[in-house]
Amino acid sequence: MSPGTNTEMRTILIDQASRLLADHTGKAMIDDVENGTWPEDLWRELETAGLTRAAVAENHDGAGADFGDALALVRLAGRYAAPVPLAETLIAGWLLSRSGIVPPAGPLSFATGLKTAPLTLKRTGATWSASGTLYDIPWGRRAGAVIATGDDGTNGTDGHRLVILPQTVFTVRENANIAGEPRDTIVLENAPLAEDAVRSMPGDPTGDLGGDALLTLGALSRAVLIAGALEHVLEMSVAYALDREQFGRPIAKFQAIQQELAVLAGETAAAGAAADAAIEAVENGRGAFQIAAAKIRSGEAASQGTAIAHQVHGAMGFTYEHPLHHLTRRLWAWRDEFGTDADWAIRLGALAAGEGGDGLWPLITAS
Amino acid sequence: MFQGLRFTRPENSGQYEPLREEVRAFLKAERDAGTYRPTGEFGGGFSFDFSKKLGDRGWIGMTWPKQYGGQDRSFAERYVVSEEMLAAGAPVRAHWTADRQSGPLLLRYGTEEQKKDILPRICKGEVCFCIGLSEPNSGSDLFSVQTKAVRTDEGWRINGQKIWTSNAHRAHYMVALLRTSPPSEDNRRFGLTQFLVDMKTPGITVRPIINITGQHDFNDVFFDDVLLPHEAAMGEVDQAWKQASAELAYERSGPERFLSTYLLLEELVRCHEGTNDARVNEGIGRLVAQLWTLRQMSLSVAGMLQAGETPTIEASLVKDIGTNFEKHVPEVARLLRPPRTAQDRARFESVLALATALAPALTIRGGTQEILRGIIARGLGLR
Repeated sequence: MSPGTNTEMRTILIDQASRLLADHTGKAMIDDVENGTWPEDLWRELETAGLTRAAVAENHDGAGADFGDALALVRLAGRYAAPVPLAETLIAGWLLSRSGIVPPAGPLSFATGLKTAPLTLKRTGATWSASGTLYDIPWGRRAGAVIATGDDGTNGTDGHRLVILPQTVFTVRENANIAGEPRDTIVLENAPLAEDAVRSMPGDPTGDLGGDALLTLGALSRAVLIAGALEHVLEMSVAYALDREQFGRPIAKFQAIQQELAVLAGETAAAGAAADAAIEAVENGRGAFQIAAAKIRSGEAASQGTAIAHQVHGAMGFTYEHPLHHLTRRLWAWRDEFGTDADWAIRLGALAAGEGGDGLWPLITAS
Repeated sequence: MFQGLRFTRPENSGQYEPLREEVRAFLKAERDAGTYRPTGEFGGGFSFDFSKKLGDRGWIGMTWPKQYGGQDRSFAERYVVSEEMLAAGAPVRAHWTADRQSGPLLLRYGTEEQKKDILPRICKGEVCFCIGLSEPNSGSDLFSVQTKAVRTDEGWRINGQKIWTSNAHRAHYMVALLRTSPPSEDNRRFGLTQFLVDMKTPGITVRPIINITGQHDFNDVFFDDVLLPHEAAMGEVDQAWKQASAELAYERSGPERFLSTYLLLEELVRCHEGTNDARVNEGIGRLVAQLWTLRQMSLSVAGMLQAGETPTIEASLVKDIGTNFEKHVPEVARLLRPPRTAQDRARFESVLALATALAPALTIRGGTQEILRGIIARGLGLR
């Protein structure tokens, strides 16, 4: 079902998730999580409602919703700056389940090959051992399992395997992104893995743009989170401009402010439209072009949008007390995660140049 | 109160691929035959011969009823033809305005006689329309229009002047916004009426205004005691301000709002085939992502319009972002010039020069960026 057209299932999921996230993600709570508290209540409620395994097949202990449903929840996670690995768990669960693997219980996370060499895999009889270091793993410290790429030493990428790392096999060095979201380093030294923890690499469900499925889907998750967060940032900025008075009237009445907010609205709309189109492409078994384009455009929108939102909010938005930064700092982080807009533009530009001048327009209309 | 922005996903256009392929094959054959060469002018060149060929194929007035020469086809199909024409730099200016807005206006407000007379000729590619809005003292402030239409026994008497009227020197008809009453106390938009003006009517004088590229596109148009028939008034007299919203949404959100400098992007890519330089790829990749996103937004608005909605803010956003994208293309392209030895460099330079010089007009014509952003701000509930 295409994004923006809600089935009954999606409406129910969105209603449930909106209510839970609205109830549980106040300013103080997000502050607490940033200071190291794990939001046990929120996560338990999300799990109990079946939202964390929304797009996992029913026979894999999931809710059996589709990819678009899961990404609609990711968008809400962005909107509410939800300080939990909901996006990662939803996407890892969907990818594993569609590859015929029952996703492990609990929060899930994944590593991409972007800044990380594949883990070195060694086979010993019926079991495996894995060694290596994985960087910037979202919520690595809380993940019940981390999905990563391993290399079994056979021919190049033919030797790449999907590795499911239970939390018992790795050590964690805690780290965080600019928004204070956990982005941990995970170290494995000859970590023992059961036979079924090493699987063949699932095909990239989106085609191939020189990245792996985890990288591509990670990039899409960031584009969608950005779209959700920008919607909220726009609403907050409009509300603030209507409320804040200077020179005897709300600053919303000044053309300078109106023009800025119109640009913010455009950037918000562009990020949302690009994300929706990319989700739809994946649902149709494509998406390499569209995800690259969505990550680029949403990254640009995050840069311009955060600047405008802060300008409109003035000094108040620069305080820790005001909730704006929970969204804007995430936008600054998400635009860089799973490849910056520049990284993806280089890939997309190479793809476009490869089609040549005559092939450019057909490429755009077919994507 | 601001209800949020809505860009629903457009329907899958896969079913129109045969039409798209047909249009592409036609355009390629025309280029191969030397009928036209894309130059990067606004909306392509101006050629009644070419427009007539499109008319023969049923590609003008596609969505209009068959009884008036149309094809009863969908807006989605019209969109396919429009964007293919623009991307290929085809000379479509002669019929563009009539096809996009004047024809639909006539369909809605014209008399049966006007419709039977004019619409089939538009569909054949024989008729050019221009739009008379701006005046020397009415630019962005459109509701201050002063050119008067006075009702007399013989018809409407017109006196005044329009300016910046594109194609007035070649148009058969003008749709003119004229003052029929003073504005009312509580509504300054009251008192204007749209008129169908036959450009052959005595008393009309057209004088060229040459733009910074040296081209003759727009004009001064003087009305000196021009007498129009009673039925020249379109729709309700004094109430033109109510009539425009859907037409404006089409005008603002179509592919002509982001493809004006597409030819330059295509040339940039062509010059760099095989270059594989990261800096070039990044520049191209960003433009491609921006263009692709705009197309998704534009298709979305087209779908909402087809469904009978009036997505005013969304259409304005497409024009604002689209025209700024168009202006941005030459800024990127000039910094990513191919080396002198590149085969197509001369052509690249000429397309770049034209795009650079045309760029300032892109965020002025059809409603300035500032006016559009004001409309968006109103939609956001700020004013």
